[in-house]
Amino acid sequence: MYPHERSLVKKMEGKPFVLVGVNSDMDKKALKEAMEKEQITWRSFWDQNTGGPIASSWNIHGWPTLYVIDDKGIIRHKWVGSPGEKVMDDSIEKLVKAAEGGNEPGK
Amino acid sequence: MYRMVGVVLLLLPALPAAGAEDKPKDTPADQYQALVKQYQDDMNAFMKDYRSAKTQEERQKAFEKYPQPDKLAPKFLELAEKNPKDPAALDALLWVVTNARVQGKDSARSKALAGLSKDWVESPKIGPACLALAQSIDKQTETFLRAVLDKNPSRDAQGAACVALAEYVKNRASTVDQLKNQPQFAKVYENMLGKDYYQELMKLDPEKANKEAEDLYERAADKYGDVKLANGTVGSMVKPQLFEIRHLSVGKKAPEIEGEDIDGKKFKLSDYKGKVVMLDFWGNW
Repeated sequence: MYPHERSLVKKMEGKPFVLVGVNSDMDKKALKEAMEKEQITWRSFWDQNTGGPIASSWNIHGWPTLYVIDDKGIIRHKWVGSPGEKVMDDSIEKLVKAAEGGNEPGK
Repeated sequence: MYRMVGVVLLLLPALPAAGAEDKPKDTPADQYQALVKQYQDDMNAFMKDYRSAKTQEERQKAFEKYPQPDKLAPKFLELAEKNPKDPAALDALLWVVTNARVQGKDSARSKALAGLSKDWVESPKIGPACLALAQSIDKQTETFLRAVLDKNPSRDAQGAACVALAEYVKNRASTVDQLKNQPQFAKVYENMLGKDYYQELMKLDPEKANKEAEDLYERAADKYGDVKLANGTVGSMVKPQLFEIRHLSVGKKAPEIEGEDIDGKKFKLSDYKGKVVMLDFWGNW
């Protein structure tokens, strides 16, 4: 996942898009090291473990789970596991274009 | 001559008694337990081999001995077929439905489901079977769950069927959603579900399905909240699912998240309003 996430973040630089993680690793120190090693530059909530407060309230049972939320705060996609690079990129590009254009996001 | 006959006569009565002790009649319950034990023994033997494997090659070899439930399933089905009214038949059919992996028209699982539909829809003990089927997406499962919900006189069974049906509807909608993005699996699912039903599924309206699931979860919480399940109650199972459907499905406004980042700094999801956000639940474990 990380290489694609990295390239997605790079592609969207300067555009109204942000990747926000919710991380479930228990060991903060090991996590920081891993993030440096993998060049994970985007911000994550630290949720402490897979049963953490955020994952529990969002009813997460599989990792990764991805939600795409548009510029108006509406959930537009939910994927358990990656839907594949093409589906992910196309879906996000569509929503970012709509956010840039200031139009109603197309369905 | 007289004494010899006496000796022979003394021997004869002993023989039939010894014969009767060698072959006791196994009850269906005994036979069921024996099959379960056989599976468990095979599993234990596999685990022992797998744990002692030291190389990838040895591990792969160990996997060849993995006890496939579908191989033993026909024996459970036979037991149920020969004793259709015995409680052990329900146990046997439940075993197949819970453990067999292969799906599709002539699979053991499908046959077990047919057996449950034929003889056990009104049994007060059918709850666990309903819950075991909740993750399926085939038509046979839907028909069975609706039949239990409509016809079963026991409140416990109705409760289990109601929440299982809600799970089924919700799970089917999200599976179909994922399949729409994975055309490479179309053939596999067409074969498993039948071409007609597969095409019917592809036309499912996800919003309608979520509404139906929501109604069923509400009904389960209102009417059967206190019904006990294997893990908790119908109520405790329904609560997070209802929250998800009401607040976390496509089209809903994302709830706020407040938390700390890796450096301990506080931030909120709403900090990013005006931008498209991909929220990524991940772990490095």
